Amino acid sequence: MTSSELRMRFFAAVLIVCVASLLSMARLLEHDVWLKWIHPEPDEVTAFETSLAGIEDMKPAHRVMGYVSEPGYDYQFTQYALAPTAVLSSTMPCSLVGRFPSASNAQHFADQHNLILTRTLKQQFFLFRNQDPQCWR
Amino acid sequence: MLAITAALLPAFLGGLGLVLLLTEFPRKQLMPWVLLLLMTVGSGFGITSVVYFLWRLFSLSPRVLVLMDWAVAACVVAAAILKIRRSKLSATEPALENGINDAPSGLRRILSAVFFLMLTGTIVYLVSATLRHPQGEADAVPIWNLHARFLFRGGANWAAYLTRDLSWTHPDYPLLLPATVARVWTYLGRDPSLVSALIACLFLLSTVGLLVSGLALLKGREEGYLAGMLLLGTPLFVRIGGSQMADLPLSYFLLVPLVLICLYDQSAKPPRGLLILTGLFVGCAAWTKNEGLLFALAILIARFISKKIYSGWWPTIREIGFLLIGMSPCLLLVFYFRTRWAPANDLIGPLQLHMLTARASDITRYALILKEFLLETVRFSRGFVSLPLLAIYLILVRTRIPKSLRAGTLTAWLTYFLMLLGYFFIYIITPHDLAWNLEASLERLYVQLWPMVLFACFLAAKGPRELLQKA
Repeated sequence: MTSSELRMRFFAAVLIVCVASLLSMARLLEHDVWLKWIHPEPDEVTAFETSLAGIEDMKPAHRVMGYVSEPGYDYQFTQYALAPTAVLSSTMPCSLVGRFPSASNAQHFADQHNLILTRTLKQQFFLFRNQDPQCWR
Repeated sequence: MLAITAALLPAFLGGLGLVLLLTEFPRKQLMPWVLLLLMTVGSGFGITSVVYFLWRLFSLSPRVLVLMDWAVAACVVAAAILKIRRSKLSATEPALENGINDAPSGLRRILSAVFFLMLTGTIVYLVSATLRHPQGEADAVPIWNLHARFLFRGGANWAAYLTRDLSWTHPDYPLLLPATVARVWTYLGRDPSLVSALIACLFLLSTVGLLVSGLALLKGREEGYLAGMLLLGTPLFVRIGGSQMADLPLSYFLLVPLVLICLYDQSAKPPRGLLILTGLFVGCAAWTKNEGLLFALAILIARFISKKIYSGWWPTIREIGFLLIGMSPCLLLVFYFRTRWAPANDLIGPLQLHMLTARASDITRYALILKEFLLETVRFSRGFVSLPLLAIYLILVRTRIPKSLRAGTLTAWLTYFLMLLGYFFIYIITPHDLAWNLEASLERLYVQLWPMVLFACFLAAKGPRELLQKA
């Protein structure tokens, strides 16, 4: 292979790397920064934390609960549990925040799990209270 | 922000002391310092996460934690200063940047400009991702940051999450990342999400910096910048890096040992401490994610084979011995955590021989895994950069490995293939739905290995010095 061929091949390789990398970065910035800046998606976890603000009827030690899966109704809650308490060692927490498409869905969930639907919070979040007296001693 | 910096200070000081204690790099050049400082991030977080875990075991007061952190940092820094004074390093600096100035400076300037442009883009992305998802994304919320909150908020009940009832949070996962985040929260007395986001960014930028500076020292700055551009041009790598999951910290700890092994091979008078430091980073990988345990096994086998090919039995055994010495503290800690505290792993816990045999003899599982591995090879980056593109680069520039880097390069490649093999057989025995398991995890496994692949490829590729000098 001649020296000019070697040089050509090398600069072609470098050019490919530069162009592919820059295009990838440009697309990432377009999709994940620019477009999401224009059309922001709601951040579920932040919404969850916001919804908890100001709640006073939850025991401090039990302030954290979970996030009930949405319309699939399999109730695999605590997927998004945000903070720890000893209460999480049981399968159903004493207080629970879940997100449902409507109040009737939330009530249905409460009936099935022996919970009391105590309050509607912001952004379709609902606060439940476990009726188990063990929780509230 | 000042409080967070103050909380990170003992980690960085301890890390810097440890790296200085165990290495002998030339200190009048830029790149060795860059590499050294980037290793400080991992070694510092490694030390302080272990200290935090020990502190948490006894549930002492936060003041005791501060005292423990600073005591450890002071001891390591004092030992490093003593060692530097004794060895008079400036007189015996190894020339690790040999020949780099031969390369055309115009090309280097262009490549560095493109690299730093991409680095700026990455920082813009990280800021945007943190503003959009301050709590992190995907597994960061229900696993890594949740574990950190248990450690921080749980007090004496910190271990309440270590139960099979909460198997969805993978309570058996090791604690380097959660303990690192929780330690800063403990210093602050509150748990702002900025801390976990900042630590995630540090790991991402350090991984990129390690790849660039490692290759710059071993091959040339042009190769370093090119590999760095490819890494930053991998959208999935940047996305996962900004998501606060443990995949990027693991990726960092998989890359450092390979860089150090190659530096060890290339050094004229390699210090034994470099091997111990390498082992320490391997141990940190096992303390970060379960895949790190597989890595520890893979790199030991890979190094044994490659060293044996290029030298005798005795140097090979001695080297493996030093690596094991370095690995052992973290491996012992992982063993203690897994046997004393953590519930069984969701993949290994429910294993029964007849089920294992049934899965291992099911040919359709092999076919599905192989198919997904091949597909992921092409599509994993979710961008223009991919493994086929890397193959085109190698075909164009061709390969030539310098003699001093042959054992190191072989170690990197063997480690990569052993890791892939390990992942393959873990998928074979997984009790979960295989298709779901592959979809949920395979792309992240590829991302974990991606910096290692780039490093190994650019070690083997001919660089501008070799090509243009010949021309």
